[in-house]
Formats: sequence, structure tokens, C-alpha cells
Amino acid sequence: MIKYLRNTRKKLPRYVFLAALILFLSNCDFIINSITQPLTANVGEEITTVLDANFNVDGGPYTKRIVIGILAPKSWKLSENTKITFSGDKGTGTMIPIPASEVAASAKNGENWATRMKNKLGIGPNFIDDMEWVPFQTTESLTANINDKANAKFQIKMKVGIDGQNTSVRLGYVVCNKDDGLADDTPNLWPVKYANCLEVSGGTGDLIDFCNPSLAVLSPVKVLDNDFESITFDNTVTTTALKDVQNIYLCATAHTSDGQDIVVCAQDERSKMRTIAPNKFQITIWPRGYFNVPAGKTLTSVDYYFTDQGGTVKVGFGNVSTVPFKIKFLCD
Amino acid sequence: MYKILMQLSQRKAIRILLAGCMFFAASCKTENMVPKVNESVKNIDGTWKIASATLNGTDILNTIPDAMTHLSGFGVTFTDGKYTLTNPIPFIVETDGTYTFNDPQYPFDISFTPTGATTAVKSTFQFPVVQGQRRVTLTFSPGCSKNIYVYTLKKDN
Repeated sequence: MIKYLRNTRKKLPRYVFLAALILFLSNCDFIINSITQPLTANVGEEITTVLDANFNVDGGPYTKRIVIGILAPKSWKLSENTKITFSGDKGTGTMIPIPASEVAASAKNGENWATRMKNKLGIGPNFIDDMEWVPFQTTESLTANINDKANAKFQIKMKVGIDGQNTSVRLGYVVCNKDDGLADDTPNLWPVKYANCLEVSGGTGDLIDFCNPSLAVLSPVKVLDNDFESITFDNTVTTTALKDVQNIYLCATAHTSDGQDIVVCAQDERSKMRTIAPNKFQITIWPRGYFNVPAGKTLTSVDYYFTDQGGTVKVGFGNVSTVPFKIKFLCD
Repeated sequence: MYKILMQLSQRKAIRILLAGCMFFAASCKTENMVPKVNESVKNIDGTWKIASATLNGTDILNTIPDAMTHLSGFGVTFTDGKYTLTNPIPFIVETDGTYTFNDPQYPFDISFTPTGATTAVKSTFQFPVVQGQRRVTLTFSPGCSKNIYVYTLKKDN
């Protein structure tokens, strides 16, 4: 026994050295060197983003598929409108969408790649949670040799704004390998970068601005009149006519499909918004109940303002008192 | 020393042999040991109230004032294949009618048919036991199909 212990003590430095070596060897990292993406586009136009990445490997060789995730508005349906090719030290190839049925590597609850990316990265610096991560993979595995430092340029061609709506959004890009995925303990293996604000114009309707905080936020973003809808008034975004007012009310007009208007604009308990954070106010409504919609009728949209207790000071879309905010009852 | 060890291992061997015999004997005619009971038909008659509610995975019962959602006032009463609603909120159906299970013994979903309607609206149905009492868990989308509601109902006493 004593002999065994003595032996171990002798070998200790060797073990420590080995452990350090293993740590050093597994210190791989992936780096997104740059993202080159246009900052303007027309609705439905195909834009090309070039993502330049380095795959630095210590040890190896490793043979793995490379995965790229792109964050974009859900209504752009990027998985159907994107073509990715790459070229670099490992040759050229193409990438294809990862099926939603595939469970992501290092996903703890069996979630797929899109959900895993969303859980891990959210919507990045964007402000409206109506976005999705769309995962793509190389069609074949690529091999990194021992201590390889491989560079690759990914050419991402995607049709933006296919929903025909004017949008400004910060697209996100994440790179990882198919075996490790977005593991909690190795963030160096899934670098993520967000491009500057992309302005998509030439469409119809009001600008959907993912890039900037807005006075009014809807959750869920897409609803019908038979859903619960939370409306949040963020009075910290800019200086409004309701600055420092603590009792905020909702003044709303609902429009039915047969052209009727239902107004609920009294400043009472029903229309009072609750404070959820300093100068942030929220109300949750079930439109059918809130506007007392008769059976058989449906609502198509709601116009609304935020008002003070007297109902005279109003804040509407674009921080003016004459243009209302709008809820359109539409699904994806 | 060696002798004692030997004896010990012999005793162990006998013990294992005996245990094996018992298993062998007990393995006969197992069908008699399982009582013949049919799975009961699920009976949900009574009035049910909301015990928990989520929208897209977020709790809406405890995080939003009841004065806005009116969840606590909602009730659904099942009697003899019919249901009635009190204080409607976003739910599978808006008006009273009839309901059926896909399988009364092993229900996986429940269909609601409002009076006068020709088509039924389906919801997944779970019937778990919480603190010794049955709960009914319904999953549905009354508005946009991507907005998922999960209501767990408990019997109103």
C-alpha cells in the first residue's frame, strides 16, 4: 500500500503534465472574422452575405459537419429562401437546412436545432420577439487535421422580406459543429455575430422595426381576437407627452369585419394599465371579451392610444397624439 | 482458514440454489396473480375550474392580474356528454354543446361540438392525479395556431 502511494507521488508530476496537455489540446476555437452584409434591400430581393470564419483546432484530427444558424424574422421563412455555399482551405461545398425533427447536439430537453439556438441566443440585440433561428449544415463532414487552422468563406444568398413588409432588422449568424452544437461549457466553439441594421423597403404598411425599442410592444406578436394579448407601453424609450405620468390607461377602438367600430376609451379599472417596471406599463386583454364582441362577429384590427387619467394627453404611433398604434388580427 | 472460507462459499452456493428454486416455483401461473380489472371509463362529470394556465409556456394565471384575464371566474361543467361554460375566456369553444372522448377508457383527446355547429374542435386530454385529486389538462389554440394554451382544471367543490 505504502509502496503504491509512493509510486503515485512519483508519477504525480507526470499526471499533472498530461492533464494540462489535454486541456491545452482541447482548446480549439472557432472565430467569425467578419460578416459582410448589405444594409439596404428591397422586399423580395436576394442579398448575399459573406461570412468569413476560422476553425482553429488543437489536436485532432476531427471529422465533423459544420452548422450555421441565421436569425431572421419568422415571416421571411428563411429555410425555404436561402442558399449557402462555402469555399476555403477544405475545398468547396453547399449547406442544406437541418430538418426540424433532428435533436440538437447538447440539447438537454430533446429540442431541435432551431429551438436550441433560440433558447441559447434569444433574439440577440433585436427588440421584437417574432424571430427564429434557421439552422443549416454542410452536406458532408469536413476533416480538420492535427492543429489545423482552416479558413472558410460562406456565401449566404437569401431572399429578404418575402412577406412584403417594410422591415429593419439585425440579422444574426452563429457557427458551430454538428457534434458539440451550442454546448454550455464551450462557448468558444459557437461564435455568434449580429450584422448592423438591415433596412428592407419598398413594401407596404408601417415599418416593422426590430432594431429599435418601441413605445408599444405586443406579446404574442401575432394574435387573433380570440387570443390573450399583452400590450406594453415603454415610457422610457423617449420623452413622451406622458412623461412622469404614473396612471396610464388604454384608449382603444376595435374594428369588426362588417365595418363596425367598438370604442373602449373610458379611464376606469378595465382600461387601467399596471406598472411592471419603472415607467413601463402593461395591460392584458382578450379582445373578444374586452370589446364585448357579439357572437358571430370577428374583429379585424384595433387602434389604440395610451392616455393619462383625464384622457386628454395621448401618445400614439411615432410618439404623436394623432396616429394610433395598431393591432392587426393576422397569423403567420 | 481455508476450510472456513470453503464452507462459507458452499453455504452461499446452497443459498443461491434455494433462491433460484423459489423463483422457479413462483414463475408458474403468473396469470392468476394479476387481478382481472377493466380500465375504468373516464368520468369527468362536474364543474371544473382553472388550477394553472400557460400561454406559449409562460404562466398567465399568477403573473397577470385576474382582473385582466378573468381566469378564476371561468368554469366548465360536464354532464352526460354535454358541457356548459361560465364566464367565457379564450377556450377551445365559445358556446355550450356536447363533448366526446376518442376512447372513453383511454382518452387521448376530447372533442367539443358547440350546439348548432357541424364540426368538432379537438384538444389533447390528460387526466393526471395531483395531491390525490384528478386534474384535467387541455392543450389548444383558440386564436393563431402558434399560440399554445395549456389549462389544467381541477374539480370545483
